Amino acid sequence: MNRVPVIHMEAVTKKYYIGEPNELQILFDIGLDIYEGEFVSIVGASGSGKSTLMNIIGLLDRQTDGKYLLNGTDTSQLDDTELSHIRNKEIGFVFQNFNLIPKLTALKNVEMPLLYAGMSQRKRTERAMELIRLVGMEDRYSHDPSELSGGHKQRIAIARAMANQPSIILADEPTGALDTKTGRMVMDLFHKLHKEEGKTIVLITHSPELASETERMLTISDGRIVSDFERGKGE
Amino acid sequence: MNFLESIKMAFTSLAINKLRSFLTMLGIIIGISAVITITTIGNSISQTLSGTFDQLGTSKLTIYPDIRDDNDGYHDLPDDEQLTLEMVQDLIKRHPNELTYSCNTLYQGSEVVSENGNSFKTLMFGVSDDYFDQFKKQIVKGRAVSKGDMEEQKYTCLVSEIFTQQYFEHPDDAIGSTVKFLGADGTNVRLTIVGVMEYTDLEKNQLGVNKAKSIYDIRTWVFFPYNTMLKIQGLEPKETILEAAEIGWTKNCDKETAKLYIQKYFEPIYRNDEVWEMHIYDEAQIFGMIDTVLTVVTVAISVIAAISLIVGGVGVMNIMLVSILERTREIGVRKALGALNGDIRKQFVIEAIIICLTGGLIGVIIGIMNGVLLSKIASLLLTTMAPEYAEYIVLTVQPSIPAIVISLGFSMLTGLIFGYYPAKRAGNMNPIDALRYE
Repeated sequence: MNRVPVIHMEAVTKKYYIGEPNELQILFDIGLDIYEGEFVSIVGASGSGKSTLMNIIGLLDRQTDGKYLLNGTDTSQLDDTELSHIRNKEIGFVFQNFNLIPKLTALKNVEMPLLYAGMSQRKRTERAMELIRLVGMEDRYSHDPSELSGGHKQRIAIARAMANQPSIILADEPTGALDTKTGRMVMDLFHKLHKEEGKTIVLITHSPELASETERMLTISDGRIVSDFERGKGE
Repeated sequence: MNFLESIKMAFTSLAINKLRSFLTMLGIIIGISAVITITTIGNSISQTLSGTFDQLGTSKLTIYPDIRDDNDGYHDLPDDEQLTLEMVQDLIKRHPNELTYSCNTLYQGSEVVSENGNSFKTLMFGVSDDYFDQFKKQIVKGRAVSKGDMEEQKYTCLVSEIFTQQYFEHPDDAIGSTVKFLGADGTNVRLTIVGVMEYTDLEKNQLGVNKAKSIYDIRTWVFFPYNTMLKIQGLEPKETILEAAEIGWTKNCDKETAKLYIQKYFEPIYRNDEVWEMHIYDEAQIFGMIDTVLTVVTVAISVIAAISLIVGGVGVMNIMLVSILERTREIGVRKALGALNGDIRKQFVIEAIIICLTGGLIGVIIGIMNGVLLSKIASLLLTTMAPEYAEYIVLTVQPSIPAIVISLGFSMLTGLIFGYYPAKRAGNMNPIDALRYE
């Protein structure tokens, strides 16, 4: 396969409290390639290091050692400003607790990444409404997050994650705070985005059932990737 | 993200917490309103003084011989020829349509016996023809001493209403009547009344009009031509030594040109004098001094009041730190979504500036209102406590525009200074820590 992976990791490690007696290593020797259009899940128990891995993938945190290329760019050399630009353009976050900004309407929340991308107000509103329609929330675009149910909040959050057409959507336990039914709806939305929009999605979850819905499942345990199962291909 | 967006965002977040935003502003409001109140009062006093000086006729320069600045201190008694009436008249003659000479010299007290045989006392003043220029409204009948009266040394005079009441049985007969004045030195002067004037409240107060038991107790004033006075005294203009002279100017001239003419005229006379020079005294300079003192006082008090701005600024900083702590998660989210450190910093600095600037604007409005209110009280006190001066005092309320501009600039600066540190802290937050903050 000659395709350039969206995410390429080589021997990535993450340590905390370096040089101190309580030095803690969370990730060991992570090697990983994720290609465009894949729907990958990363499964692991809590404390396994999956969130740390996601933060590194999402450029919210830096690895201690190893190589991480995003769309072929080595991220270890980038400064804060460049990282912000990449987060803005290339990565869409979906969080467990939604992380919508309170007191701003759903529309304004979806506009946020567009605002930081420097888009004009008119274009922002246009694009944000398009995204809100995509997630089926057009009748509630003017509501504050406090007026929305969990499922609705997560749909708005997904619309926001899609705003700048990122190379990759990172979803960290997106159904963790939702009941089974609304969680199902959110998962269906991810499937729809994957199939219809061809989005690359990385889903982090502790639930093997959710993970089994994806076409590729990475299992992480004690900071190491212990299995990489691709449906239809086997391990 | 552009500037306008940041301002919009700042207003949105300030509107969310209205009470807190207002309380934060309060320190700034108090500081700025104090400064504006003080400067408005200061400026109003200054404007009032200048208006009052104009009213009292500052359009005169007083000239008198004075010791030179570079004299070592020892000097002979003044020479007789330092400043004579002749010199002054000559000066005026050189610039006839530009300079004027107005004077008002006490001749002597005299006694008059009325038609009824009552005797009363007067004070006689020799005045120049333009002496009444600034008091024209006081002349109620006839005319003032004219140029012709002066030049021809006529025996005319201007008396007051009180004089006519004292002298005549029918005060309406006054114009054209000739009155005999018996001087204290025994000389008699007969003067024909050409005009009648009324006193101002201030003059009535000086004469004790309201306190007099009988109208004949009032020692009223009589004005007659200056040259006539000289003739009676038997002096020539050349022999008449003046201690000082008041030089005025017409609308064809201005103060600076008048000064120049005076200097030019006296320069050859005093060129070789090592002790004396002709000094030009400008009343407006006194006003300038008062104004300077007033400005210094105003600035000093304003600076003290401005210290409260620092207190207000610390309040703003405090609340910004709290607000940033509360919104740590929001900051994390914004950063995850691509906000630069600078975007976050800008957002919070602008919030702080808007708090301070809004507070400053409210403070300016309150300060102006205070100033106006205090001036109203001052004018009320003035008219009830000193009514005789009231008509001379032109009360002006004028907020100081520079003070307003500087205050608003200062409140912006306060926001910038006290908002910068919290905003910088917010901008430099690590996104992952901010997102995890509970």
